[in-house]
Amino acid sequence: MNRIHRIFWLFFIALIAFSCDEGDNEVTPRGQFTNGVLIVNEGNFGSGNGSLSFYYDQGDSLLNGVYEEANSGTIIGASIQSVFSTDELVLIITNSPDKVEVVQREDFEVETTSIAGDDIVQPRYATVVNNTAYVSCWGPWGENFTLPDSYVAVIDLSTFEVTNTIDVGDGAEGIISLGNELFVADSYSNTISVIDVASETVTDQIEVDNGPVQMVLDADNMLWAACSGAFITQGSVVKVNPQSKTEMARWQPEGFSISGKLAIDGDQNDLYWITAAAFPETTTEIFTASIADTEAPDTPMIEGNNFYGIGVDPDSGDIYVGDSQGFVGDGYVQRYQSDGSKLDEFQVGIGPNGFVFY
Amino acid sequence: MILKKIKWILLLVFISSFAYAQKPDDVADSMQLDEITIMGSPYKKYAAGAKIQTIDSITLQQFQHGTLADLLEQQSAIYMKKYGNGMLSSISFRGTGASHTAILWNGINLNSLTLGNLDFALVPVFSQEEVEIQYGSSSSLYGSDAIGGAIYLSNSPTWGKGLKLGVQQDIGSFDTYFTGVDLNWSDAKWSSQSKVYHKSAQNDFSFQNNLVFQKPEQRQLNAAYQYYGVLQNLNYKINNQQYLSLSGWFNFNDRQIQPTMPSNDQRFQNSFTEIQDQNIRVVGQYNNHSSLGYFNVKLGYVHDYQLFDELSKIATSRTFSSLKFEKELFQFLDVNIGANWNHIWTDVDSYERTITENRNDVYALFNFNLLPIWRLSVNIRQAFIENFKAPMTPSLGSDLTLLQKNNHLLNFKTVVARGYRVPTLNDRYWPRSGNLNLSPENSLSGDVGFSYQYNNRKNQFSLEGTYYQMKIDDMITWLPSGSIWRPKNVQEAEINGIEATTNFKTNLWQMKLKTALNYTWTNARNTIGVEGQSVNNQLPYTARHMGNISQQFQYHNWWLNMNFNYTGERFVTTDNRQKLDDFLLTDIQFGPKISFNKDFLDVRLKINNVFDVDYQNVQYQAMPGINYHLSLSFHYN
Repeated sequence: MNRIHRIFWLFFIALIAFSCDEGDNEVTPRGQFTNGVLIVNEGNFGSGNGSLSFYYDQGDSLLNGVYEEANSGTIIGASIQSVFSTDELVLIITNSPDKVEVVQREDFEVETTSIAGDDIVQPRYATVVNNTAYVSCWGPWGENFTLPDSYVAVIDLSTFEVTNTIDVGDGAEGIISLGNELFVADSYSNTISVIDVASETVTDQIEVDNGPVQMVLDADNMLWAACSGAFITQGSVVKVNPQSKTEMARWQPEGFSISGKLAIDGDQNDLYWITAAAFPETTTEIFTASIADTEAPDTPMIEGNNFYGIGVDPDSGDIYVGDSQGFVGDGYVQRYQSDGSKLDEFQVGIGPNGFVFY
Repeated sequence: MILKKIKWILLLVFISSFAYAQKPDDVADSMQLDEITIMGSPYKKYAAGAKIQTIDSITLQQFQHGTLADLLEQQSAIYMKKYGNGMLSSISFRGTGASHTAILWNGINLNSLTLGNLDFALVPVFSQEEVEIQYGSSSSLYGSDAIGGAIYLSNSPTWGKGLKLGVQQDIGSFDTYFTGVDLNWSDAKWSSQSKVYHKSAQNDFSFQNNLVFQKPEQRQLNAAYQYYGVLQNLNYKINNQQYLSLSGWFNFNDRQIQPTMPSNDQRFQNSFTEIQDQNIRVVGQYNNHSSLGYFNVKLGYVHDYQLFDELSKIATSRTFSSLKFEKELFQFLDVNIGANWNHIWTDVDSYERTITENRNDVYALFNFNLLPIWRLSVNIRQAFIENFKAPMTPSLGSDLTLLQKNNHLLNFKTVVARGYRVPTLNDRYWPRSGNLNLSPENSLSGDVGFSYQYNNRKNQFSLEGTYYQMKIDDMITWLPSGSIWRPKNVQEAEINGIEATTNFKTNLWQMKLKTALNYTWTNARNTIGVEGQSVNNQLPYTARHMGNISQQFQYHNWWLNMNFNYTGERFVTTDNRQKLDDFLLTDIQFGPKISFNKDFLDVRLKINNVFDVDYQNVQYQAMPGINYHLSLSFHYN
């Protein structure tokens, strides 16, 4: 081997040796995302500038542009509607263009070419059951801005191919699994569609308020949905019994419009949702209530402007609020203790709309 | 790397401009051709102190197959924000926004009434004869939208020249074709000018897509476009004092919308979109120039139609009439008074109803030639708009000759002016979001500068430097309120900057050399932003530094043009956390002009982006690397 080759190998070995420095107790090295919060930054619609940020609990450090960092500068290039995480994979659901990006949970490196095509039209949210992903999709626009052809796309996560599409109610949004069933919020209507996983068919449609968007399950396995009202009604937070398929309660805080964003704490006992005051006000609020409460709270816990995302740390109970700052630039995440007192805030990407806690 | 290139270019330029210059065509262009026809903007006389740039006919000839976007980008230091190759191009004059420039054709503002701006890629240079640019606020002269500047497009009739015919055929990279026919006929009484043009391009250029998984080499998808149009000017000289004219311009544009680099994939073809535009503009004028004064009446009709993705229609129509009277009094004062009436009606699917609106203006312009060396302009305009209060917009400008002898001319110029912009029809009437209580955006701008010229029989040199300062209030931004977006008068911006322009014309070793250099430094900041965030940062898509150099060599009947265009770093958002790299683009054009008695054939080969630079004008939009264009233009006189 000539001299140049030898030097090259020496250099190469040295590079390998020095790059593997996994300390046990130091700051989490790049490429591992644990003990922290993944922040979903929606981006401006049509501008392709959605991004992901990761906030590490230890050392209070923040990494913006997680995807770019992990994938040598390539970008998601779309606006991110939501993210769903399993132990191995993270599904990034985007619009404009419509696709499902699949990255490895461990280091956010791309696992496979994004899933896109005629079966993925305006995807919104996802859930995973038994190595199969179920993605709620609005479908194409109908006349006068309606969404009559919404469906759930069924994706086999071993082949990453769409195996089936299941027609649901108009404007499919939030999707949640419980037992052998999937519950899909039909946001352009007033129902929650129920899908039997085995037969991949809709077995029921539960009537609730207009415009259900996001849903959570509580400690008693009851289903809660935040309904925006869809310009028809005021909006409300409804409680649904997923066994009897009936609405159990409806909370309508006076004078506040529900935005549709909803979160629950680690014990699954306390709900949090965002409301937006009527025009010309631009204020938004965070309301909270216990699942045991009998009526709607009438005063908000936190007030501010441009609240766009809500999440609760299951371990600490800290409340994470995404502040979109009007989408004119990078937004902020505000952190509050569970009693509503503010901890701090930090700047992330454009329009933070959701959180995944690791 | 870019600095190195600049040094090399500057060296080349300085070597070539080392000799003396010769009298340019520009001076001849700006003189009156005939006692009753005026070239360029009729308001130029009242713009003392302002920086005005006229694009000469030789330069226009170089851009015949392109659009106004290409012309302005290379010949001025105005930033054109291009959303892809041949795609939507919006103007940014002195750091202001796309709707802050008034663009007028025969006195009609071409800005869309619904959006408030013009896509400069929809104005083919082939359709235009005279392009004049005025920098700075000038609503006193041009009405609404003239906050950052104004562009005046016009044409003047020629008389008694007989038949002239021009035919042009171009072919270029990415399946680009252009055909143009220009037919002029004039005798002592009649003057007719007809133009027909057609351009099409597949626009499937290759590029390295560094933004997607595996960074493949790709072809640009869904970026094909074509446009065609007809323009007819007809003039009839009643007698030596009066003439009538009729101008009609029909333009059709069909364009696929270039997807961003991450969206450049056949699997996303369901989201690919396309847009069609049709514009009809007709103006009839009566001109009377006698010892009593100059009198002009105009009647016009404009119809703008846009169909988005064959689904949603946006159409507005307006009728336009104006009266103007100009007179010279006491040998030192020119007075120009007039009024405009506009009646507008809409046919926009999204509005769900028809909106009608009346917009009228009255104005009075005064130009004082107080001393042979001192010119003063005092102007005022007031608009009256239905359901809306428009501000009064005055302006005051002064042009003082400091030195005039031995072929040197040095002028000191200052101007202070107000500008305003009426909120768009979308801002005011969009269903559920429209805000009828919006105030106009308004501006106050001041320029101070000098212009120096050296002219002798053989050479010409000119240098113009301007410092300006501008404040814009009540800027309209759409903000989300819950899930609905609504426009509000929220922002304030302060902009100041320096513009420098220099021109040389020289003769060297039997070659004619012409050099033009533009440089701007722009400091544009939000002083009041949204929610108190991101103030005092450079405004998005506003480069601090921009410049271009245009070097022309002519040897016997051979031409060589080199254009170097530098666009500085730009920030993408108001918080300046993301930026786009600066870039330097080089274009070369060369070829012979072959004469046959009075007729001639112009052959030009153009090489664009000579150094195959990989750049983004708008974030995530790919642009072509090196590409070629051949133009054959035959003129029969």
